[in-house]
Amino acid sequence: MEGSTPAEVYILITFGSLVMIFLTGFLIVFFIKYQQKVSEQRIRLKQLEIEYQQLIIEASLESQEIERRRVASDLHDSVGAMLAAIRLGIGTIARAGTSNTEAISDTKILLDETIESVRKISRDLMPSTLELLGLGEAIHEMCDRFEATTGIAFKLQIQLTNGELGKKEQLIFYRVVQEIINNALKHAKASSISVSLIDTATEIEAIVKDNGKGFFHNFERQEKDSIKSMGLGLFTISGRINLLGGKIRMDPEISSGTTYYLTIPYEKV
Amino acid sequence: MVIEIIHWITYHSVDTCLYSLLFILSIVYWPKRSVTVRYFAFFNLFSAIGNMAFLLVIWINRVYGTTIHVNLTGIIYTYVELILAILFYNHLTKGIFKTQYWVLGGILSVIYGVIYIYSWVYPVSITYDLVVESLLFIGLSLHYYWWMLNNLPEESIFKLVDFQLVSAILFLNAALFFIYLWSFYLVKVNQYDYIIGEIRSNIVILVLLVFTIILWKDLRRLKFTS
Repeated sequence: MEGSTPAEVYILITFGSLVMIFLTGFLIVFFIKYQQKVSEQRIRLKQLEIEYQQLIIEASLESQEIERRRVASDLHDSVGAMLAAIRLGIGTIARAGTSNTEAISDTKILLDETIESVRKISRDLMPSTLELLGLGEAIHEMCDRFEATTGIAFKLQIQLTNGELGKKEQLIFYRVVQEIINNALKHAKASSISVSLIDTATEIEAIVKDNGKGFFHNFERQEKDSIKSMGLGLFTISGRINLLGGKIRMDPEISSGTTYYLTIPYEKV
Repeated sequence: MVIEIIHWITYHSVDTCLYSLLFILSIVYWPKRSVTVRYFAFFNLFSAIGNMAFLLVIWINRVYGTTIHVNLTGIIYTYVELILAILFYNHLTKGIFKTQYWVLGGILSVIYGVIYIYSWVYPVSITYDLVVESLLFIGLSLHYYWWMLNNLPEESIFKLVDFQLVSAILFLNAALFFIYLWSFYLVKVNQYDYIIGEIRSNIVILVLLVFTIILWKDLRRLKFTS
């Protein structure tokens, strides 16, 4: 630098300043590009969330439709048929008079069965035990009923002592357990099902295990394909658990049947 | 020496005009302008006043034969600039400068003052205080970027007037930092400090023009959206 001409110094300083400006420029360009990338990711995430919400709504509507069809079928096939039989019985009694004690007795039995059918439909629609005695008792009663109707052995362990979910949350959770047991009976052809329901100060943990045909689904993956591929039943389960702010996972070991782990916080996060 | 004085008078006159223009551009549509632009308006106002005061001191010295030191205006201007810079960046980062930052700001001000007084007592053309000043602006700008990384907006940041202004400030101070660092060596070896002054003036004027474009575009955006 010593002995340099003013022009040389001028060029050197200008060049150095320009280098500094370019370096700053690189920093700013990097920053702008980074922000663009993050924005794109945010938009993609939002789109995925919207699609997920749409799928939940669709699944909810479809599930409602299935439930309506089931109730309509129950009313038509059991209550409707029984009422028709009662009508015939009453016709027979009317023609034969009160002397036909057998017809009276049959009609009475049919009436009792009809009343029981109506009770069953009503209980399926809204379990009164849940309203009166809480989640633990309602699940206990549901398992007893399944056991009585299917002959499949149920092992139960219920310890809910630390807190209580809201009524709405209890019903959602009840439906999830009901759906899992239904799946085990319908699809897995299980011969034994165990239900464990234990809570801590902050959350309820449920483990539902069957010894049927095992299968595994990774609920932690939330991509569109995964949601579409899981089917309505699992998707409804997953949607309901998300609604409760909880978590669901399955045991990947499928050789000994299927195991679901559900965790629901008392305070929704 | 005469050339140098002419250069400084010309430079400060051009600067005064540009700062005044920037001030006018910042106050048009005042109620609709963002708080950032309003802070920037004060920046420009005090910069214009500082430059005018510098010219006034030279004029008084020449006309009345007084020996008022030209740096007298500089030290007052520098402190106002420091406070405005902290307020400006504090607003940009949504009040991230808590009490401890103000304490740090106070300590920095004292250090800055000592350096400035030292430069005044033992004058050299380009001094340590300018290195500290440019470093401070680089630090504040990088701090703003860091804050932005954690609070990225939805829209493109390139279109944000805040981002444009800070980027221009960073460009300016990155270049000035290099110039001031070299100045020690150049003054010691060659006495070519007037070259440094010239390049510095050119870069400052260039960035002031960039500020003018940014404010003009912001003004047009306001005009079209109102």
